[in-house]
Amino acid sequence: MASTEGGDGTRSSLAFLRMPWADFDAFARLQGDRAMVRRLRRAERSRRKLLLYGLLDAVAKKPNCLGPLPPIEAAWELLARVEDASPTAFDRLLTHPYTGSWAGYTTRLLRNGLDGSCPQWVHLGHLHAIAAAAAIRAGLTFDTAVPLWDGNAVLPSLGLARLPTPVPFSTAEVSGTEYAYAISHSAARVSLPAMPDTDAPGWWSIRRVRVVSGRKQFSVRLDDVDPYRGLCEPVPPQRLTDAEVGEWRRMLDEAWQLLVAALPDYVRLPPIGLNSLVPRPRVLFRNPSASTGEAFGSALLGQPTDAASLASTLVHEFQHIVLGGMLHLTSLYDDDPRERFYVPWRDDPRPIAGTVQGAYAFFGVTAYWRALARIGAGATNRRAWFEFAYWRQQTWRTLEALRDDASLTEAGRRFLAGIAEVLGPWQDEVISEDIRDLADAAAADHRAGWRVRHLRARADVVSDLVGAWLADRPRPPLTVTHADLPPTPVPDGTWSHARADLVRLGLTEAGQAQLPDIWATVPGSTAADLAYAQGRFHDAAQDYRAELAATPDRCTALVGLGLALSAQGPSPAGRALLHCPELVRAMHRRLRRIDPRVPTPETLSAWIGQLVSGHHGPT
Amino acid sequence: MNSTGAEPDIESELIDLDGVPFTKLSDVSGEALHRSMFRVMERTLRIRKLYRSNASGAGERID
Repeated sequence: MASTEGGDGTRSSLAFLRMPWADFDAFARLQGDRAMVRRLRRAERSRRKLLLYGLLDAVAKKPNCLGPLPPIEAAWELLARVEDASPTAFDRLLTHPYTGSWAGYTTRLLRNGLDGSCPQWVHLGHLHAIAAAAAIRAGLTFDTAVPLWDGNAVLPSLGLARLPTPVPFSTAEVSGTEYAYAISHSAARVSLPAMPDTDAPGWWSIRRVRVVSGRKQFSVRLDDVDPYRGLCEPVPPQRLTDAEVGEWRRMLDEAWQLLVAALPDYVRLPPIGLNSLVPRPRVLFRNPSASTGEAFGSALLGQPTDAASLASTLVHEFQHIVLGGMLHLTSLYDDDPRERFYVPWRDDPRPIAGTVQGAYAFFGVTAYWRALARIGAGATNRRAWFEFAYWRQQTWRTLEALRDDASLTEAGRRFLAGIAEVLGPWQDEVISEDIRDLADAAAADHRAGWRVRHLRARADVVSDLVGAWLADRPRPPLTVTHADLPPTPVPDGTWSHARADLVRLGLTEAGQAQLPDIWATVPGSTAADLAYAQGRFHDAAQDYRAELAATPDRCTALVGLGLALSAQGPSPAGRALLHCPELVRAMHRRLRRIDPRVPTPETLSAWIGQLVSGHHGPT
Repeated sequence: MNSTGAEPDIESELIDLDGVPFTKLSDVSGEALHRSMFRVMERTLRIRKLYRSNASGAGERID
C-alpha cells in the first residue's frame, strides 16, 4: 500500500496492482477465464491514467506547444466535465486502444523533442479530439478545436470528418449539443449523424461487425480511420469499401463459427480483450498480423485468405494481448535487445521479448489447429492436422531454446514451464505419417533457410574444410561439428516462402489439382518448387541443380535441393544442406575463388554430410 | 508450479487507480503515484530501442 499526500494536504492510500499467481499460471496454460481478462483490463485502465496524466503534465510545462489549438487546460476541463457527467463515456475513450498508442507515441516525441509524422502540435493536439469524442459520447454541449491532417479530422472511436483544405495541417471546430454535432472550418462543415456509427456526407463512421454462434457473440470495430491505429507511426485513413467490409463480415462470421466449434471455452475470452481490428490489404497467400502492447485490445490484420486462417490469427493476436497485459504487471525477462533466437514465424533472428511473445501466441495457434483437426472440419481437416503438426514442434523447439536462457526472470521461467506442461504431451499425439513428414520437412525448410542467411560459418572451420578438400581427404575434418557463431540480423541472401505456400496449397486433393494452374501466381515460386510440392522429388532436385548452376549462392535452391534429396531417402548431401547450408555455401564460395575446377554445392554437401547425422529434421 | 492460495500475489509497479477519477488525480498526487507514472512513461521510451521491423510483411509485435 502506498500512502500519498495531495496538494491540499489530504492523505489518501493507493495500492499497487497485484496479479494472483493463479491468474498467471492459468494464462500460461491457456486456462484463463473472463474474470482474469477483466482484471487485466482493469490494470490497463490504471496504466492509461498514469500515462495520460504524465503526458498532460509534460505538455502543461511546455507553453504554446499546441500551436493554433486551445491550451491543454481546455481539453482537461472538457474531460473533467465528461468524467463527471458520464464516467462510461470517459472510460470508453480512456480505454480506446489508440488512446494508448497515441499517448505512447506522443510521449516519445515530447521526450525526444521530435515532430514525428506531423508537426508536434498536431500530435499533442489529438488530446482535443479525444476530449471531443468523449464529450459527444456523453452528450455534452461544448465547442473546441481539433487538428486537421490532410483535411481529415478524426474523433477517436467515432469516425472521421473530411473537410478539404489546401494545407496539410490546420484545425477544425467541433461544436454542438446532444445528438447534434458538427465539425467545420471556414470553407466546409460536416454534420455528424444522430447515430455517429453510420456514414453521412463527409463523415466516415467506424464500422462494427457482430458475429454470433449459438449464445456466443463477438463484436469488433473495423477501424480504418484512426491515425494512431498503426504500429509505430501515425497513418492516414485507408477506407474500406462496403464490399470489403462485407467480405470482412463474412470471413469473421465463418471464423467465429470455427472458433466456437473448436475452442468453446477459450472463445469466451476474446470478446473481453479484443475489440478493434485494423484492416490491412491482402498479402497474397499470407495472413500477416501485428499488434502493440500500447494499443491493448487492438490488432492489425491483413485481409484474410480464408476463415480457418483468420480464426488462427484471432487466437494469435488475442494471446499477444493477454501477454501484453501481463507484461505491464510483471516482468518475464530482462531487457535484452540482442537478436539471437531462431523463430519459425519470422525470417530474421529475434530478441528474447519477441521470442517469448511469439512462443505464447503460437502456443494458442497450436491449440486452435489441434482442436480444429480433432473435430474433423471437412475440407480444412488435412490442413488443420498439418498446421498442428507443424506448430506443435516449432513452438516446442522455441520453448526449448528459451527455457534456460539467462535473461529470463523467475516468473518468466515459470510462465514457460506452464506452457510446456500443456504443449509437451501434444508432441506425442498421433498424426498420420504423411502429414507429419510434410510438417517436418516444412520445419526443416524454414530453419535451413534461416541458417544459410543468418549464420556465418566460422572462418577457421571453412579453412579446415577447404584444406582437407584440396588435399583430397576422403572425409572432412571434425571441426565441422564445432558450435555455431551467434546469428547476425543482416541476411546473407534472400528468402521466399513460395515452397511452403505451395506445400500448404497442395495439402488437399482439390489444391493439388489446382497447383499446375496457380503455382506461378505464388510470389517467388519456381518450377523446382512446384515439382517439390507435387511430390516429384527427382524432378525437383534436377530443377534446383539447374538453379544452383546459374546462381550457386541461391538460398532457396540450396535448401530446396536438400529437401528434394532427403525426400528420396538417406542422403549425406541432403543432410548437410539442411543442417549446415551456411557451411556448404561458405566453402563453395572459398573454392570458387581459388580453384577453377570448383565442384558443385551438391558434391561438397555429400562430402560434408558424412559427418552430419540425423533425418532431414533440423537439429 | 501450481499456484496455491498461500502464495502471495505478484505485486506490480502500477498504482491501482481504478477508484480514482482521472481528473481528480492531482488531488492524490504523491511520491508513489509519480514513481509509478515515471515507470510507465519510461517504458514507452524503450520501445524503439528493442524492436526493428523487417518490413517484409511478416508479423510484428511491439511491447
